[in-house]
Amino acid sequence: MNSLLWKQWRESKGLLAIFTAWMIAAAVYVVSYELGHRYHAAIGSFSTWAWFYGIVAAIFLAMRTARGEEADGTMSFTAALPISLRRSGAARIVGAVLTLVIPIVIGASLFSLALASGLIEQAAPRTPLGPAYHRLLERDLAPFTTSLEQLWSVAAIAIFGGTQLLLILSLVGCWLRNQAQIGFFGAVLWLGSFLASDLLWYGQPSEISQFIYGVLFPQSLVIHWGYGGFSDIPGSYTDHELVGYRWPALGLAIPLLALVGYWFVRLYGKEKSLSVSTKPRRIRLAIPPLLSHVGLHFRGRWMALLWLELRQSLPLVAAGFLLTVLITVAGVLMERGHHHSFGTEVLMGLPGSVFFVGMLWASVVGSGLYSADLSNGLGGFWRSRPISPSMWFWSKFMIGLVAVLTVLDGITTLVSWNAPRESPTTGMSWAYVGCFPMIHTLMYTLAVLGTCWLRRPVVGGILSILGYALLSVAISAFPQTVDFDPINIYNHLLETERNGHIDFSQHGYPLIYGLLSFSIILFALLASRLARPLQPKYLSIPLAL
Amino acid sequence: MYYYCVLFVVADSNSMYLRIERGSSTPISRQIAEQIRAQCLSGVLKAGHCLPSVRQLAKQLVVNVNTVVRVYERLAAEGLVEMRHGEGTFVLPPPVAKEVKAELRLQRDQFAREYQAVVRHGLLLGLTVPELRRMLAAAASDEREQISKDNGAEKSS
Amino acid sequence: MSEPAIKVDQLGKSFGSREVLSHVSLSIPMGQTFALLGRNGAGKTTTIRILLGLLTPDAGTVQLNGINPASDPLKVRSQVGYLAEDQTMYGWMTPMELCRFLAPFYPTWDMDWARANLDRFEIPHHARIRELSKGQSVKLGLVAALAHHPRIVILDDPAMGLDPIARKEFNRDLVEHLQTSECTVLYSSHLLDEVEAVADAVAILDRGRIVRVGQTDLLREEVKQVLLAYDAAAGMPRPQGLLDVRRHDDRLAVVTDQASAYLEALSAEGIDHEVVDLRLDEIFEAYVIGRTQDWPNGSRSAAASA
Repeated sequence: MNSLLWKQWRESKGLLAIFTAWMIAAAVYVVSYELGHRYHAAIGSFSTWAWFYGIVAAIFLAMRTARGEEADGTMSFTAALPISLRRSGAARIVGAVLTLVIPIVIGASLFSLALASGLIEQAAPRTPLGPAYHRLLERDLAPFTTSLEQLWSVAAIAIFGGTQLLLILSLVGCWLRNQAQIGFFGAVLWLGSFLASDLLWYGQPSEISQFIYGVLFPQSLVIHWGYGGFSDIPGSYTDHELVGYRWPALGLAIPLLALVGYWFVRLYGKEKSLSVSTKPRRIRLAIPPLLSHVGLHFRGRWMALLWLELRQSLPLVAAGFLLTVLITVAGVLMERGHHHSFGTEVLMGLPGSVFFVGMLWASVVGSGLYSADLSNGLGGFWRSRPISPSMWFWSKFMIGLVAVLTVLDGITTLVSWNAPRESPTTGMSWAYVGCFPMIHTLMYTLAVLGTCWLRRPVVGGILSILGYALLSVAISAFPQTVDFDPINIYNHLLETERNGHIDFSQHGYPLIYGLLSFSIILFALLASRLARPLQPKYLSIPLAL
Repeated sequence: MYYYCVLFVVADSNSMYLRIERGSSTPISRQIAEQIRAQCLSGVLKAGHCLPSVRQLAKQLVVNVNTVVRVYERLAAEGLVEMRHGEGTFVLPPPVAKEVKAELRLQRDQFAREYQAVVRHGLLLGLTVPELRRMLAAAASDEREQISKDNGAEKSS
Repeated sequence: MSEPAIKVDQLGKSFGSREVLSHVSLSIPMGQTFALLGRNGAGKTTTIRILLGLLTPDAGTVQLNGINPASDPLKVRSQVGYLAEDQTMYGWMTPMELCRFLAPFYPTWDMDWARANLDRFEIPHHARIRELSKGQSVKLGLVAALAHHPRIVILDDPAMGLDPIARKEFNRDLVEHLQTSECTVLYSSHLLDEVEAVADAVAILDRGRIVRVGQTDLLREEVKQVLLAYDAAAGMPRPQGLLDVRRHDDRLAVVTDQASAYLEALSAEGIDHEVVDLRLDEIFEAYVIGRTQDWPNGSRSAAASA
């Protein structure tokens, strides 16, 4: 067992180093931001970063835990060793959890140092019944011990939340066929967790029910409130609120998580498929290929490529749209006061969901469309046919993009156009039409670029999300540039539109969105160059990742 | 007399039995040629019999088409078969005495070499000369009986 | 007609510091079935990929039907049928969808032929490719490769993973369809017995170099094993094409190319010797892992050391 753990350590070293660097950077960033703005809200910020990290790390690690050996081809080797596969599975999952947890602990420790040295201070915790319920800026400062406890609460919650996602994904991964599917599932679960969090916090549930939810779903023990875009203060800050019985909830969550882990280890031990087979071994939605019977005849190469890309992209995009509708419906159902019919409320809420789901889903579609065709196997297949690589790339790019924009943004715009526009988050607007298709295109292009560069399904997509997040963070960090964040521009444009003016020459829209279009074209061209050869000359990501 | 190959292709082309040993020291072309030659000379393949087409035989034995072509050409050069363009390859009646003698001599020399090797093998195995003689006598009488039975069966069919 | 179908001249390719191919030259005339033999990692797949334009060579020229795949890869691929080892296809497609998809890319695509052969190979038209058996998917790959009636067919270890019966059927189809329609076939394989029966000519590729090229039947004539007394061999000059030397007490087993020259020399000196015919796998072995260190020293050696 020791040698198994050692082997796990060797394999995870690189990933652990990267994750630790990430959390250290996050801690440093959060502390510096606090030093700059003195909002006393650094813990909330740290919590969101730790939560985001937890999700990405969980998806990554789950991919490697459940399907890593298969991808590396070492499965049959390990299965033939005189150790039960269960032990190997246990070592893997333990290693994965440690790799996820240690960076958070390190980051939180750094933060604790900053707190202990008096460098930064935190406002008093937000309680539903306490004074100054809403305005963090008006609250007193909390004593050191309280802040420390708050910090380690959010760190623990992020740890448990990430671990839960990791365990569940690893478990599900035993039933899925490949790593890309695990990443896909992870994205779905992430969106689902948004839903779940909202659900569990809405309507001021009692402490007991919050406690129970917390055991089942640790991430719900904290909720973040983002404040920003105020005219009197620059930048933004994040307030957070913690559930009262959080530590007992976490304590009770441990056996639940252990159960999931044990279940994974048992399933892993039964791992029979020792070869990367193309056959699914279990429940698959066996949709018979009905369309095959339709005798299509393609009048040219572009038509054939159109069919191919539509077949590959439409199911993916449709799934995203479905998810969006579900999220919107759930949001409407949780609303306490209903002023309109159910259908109208859904239509009103749709744009709010589509804008951010669309960002994630555009990445998913972009990386999903390209990753399969760039693998060695399928890559060899179509490259050995007289299909020009640039034809392949651009047909895929355009058709995938049109599919994403049409289904996600197009349908939403169409159906929600006439819905009442009551608040900044409900109803359509010209600002939306001017801004979000562009932002979605950016995410899509970044994901395509990432996938064409790294030739790995999920990493490319994650890179795009990360890239955008970093860009956003960088822009919002400085008061001078904070208004140049594309989403902030949208907010401003929306505000003026709701007041009656529709003017796209304001708020830096032409400059920023012009830059955006230019970058999109640049990235697409770069991606098409990177996708040309069968094997990239500068394979950047080592297999261990 | 000759038959049109196309009429009898189904019946005739399946009736030639050949076994080739892949991975043997003897080249495949030689194996095929020897077996066809032996069958022609021993009367299993009668005069006028239409051999399978080059493609058919290549397909049947899973060997290169050119190999079969070369075998047929060699046999034709030896006067055992005749390649008629457009019709097929036909077994010729047993060649005239001179060719028979030359061919037979070649075959007999080959046989003598093989016989020598067998005897040497037997001696190395510790068999004595009287034992070898006994085995020769027994084998000869058995095979002679078998050959006459075969000939009798053929004559009646 | 005098132009070879496939012409490779001094081909070289390195991956980083690793030299994978070096001075590879081949000339395959039209209509010939040519087998590329070599151990794993010898460079067969790299050569084939260069032929298809999937990789660009570092040195040398390549021509298929007079077209250079590095400069005009699409044209080459529209005239060549290719089946890779362990061919991956889109698992969600059905065979009919695959054929319909590929058809517009090839001007000479023959849909009726494709359909007829799907039936012949007993491949269901409308089942997803990932549900087909291994043998069926290889045959599907063959149909997809040949449906446009290419003049050149390149197969990279096509029978890998097939069971023996499926392999035999595959070879039978190769003989029946390709050799009878004057196709030029280049294929790489490990299965030497089958190669010997089916190929017109072979090339042995070892560590990126062609060590022998020749017609299959002539190869067996030219490479032989000679058994003779050790002392007798020591007294003779070393044969030109010496490949392998094994010593058994006082006898020497010598495998040499251009055997006839050596045998004549031995007969001229009246040295007693025995000649053994070799199988193709033994010839291959001699070329690839043959050792010549045991050749008796102090002989009147005429050749340079191997």
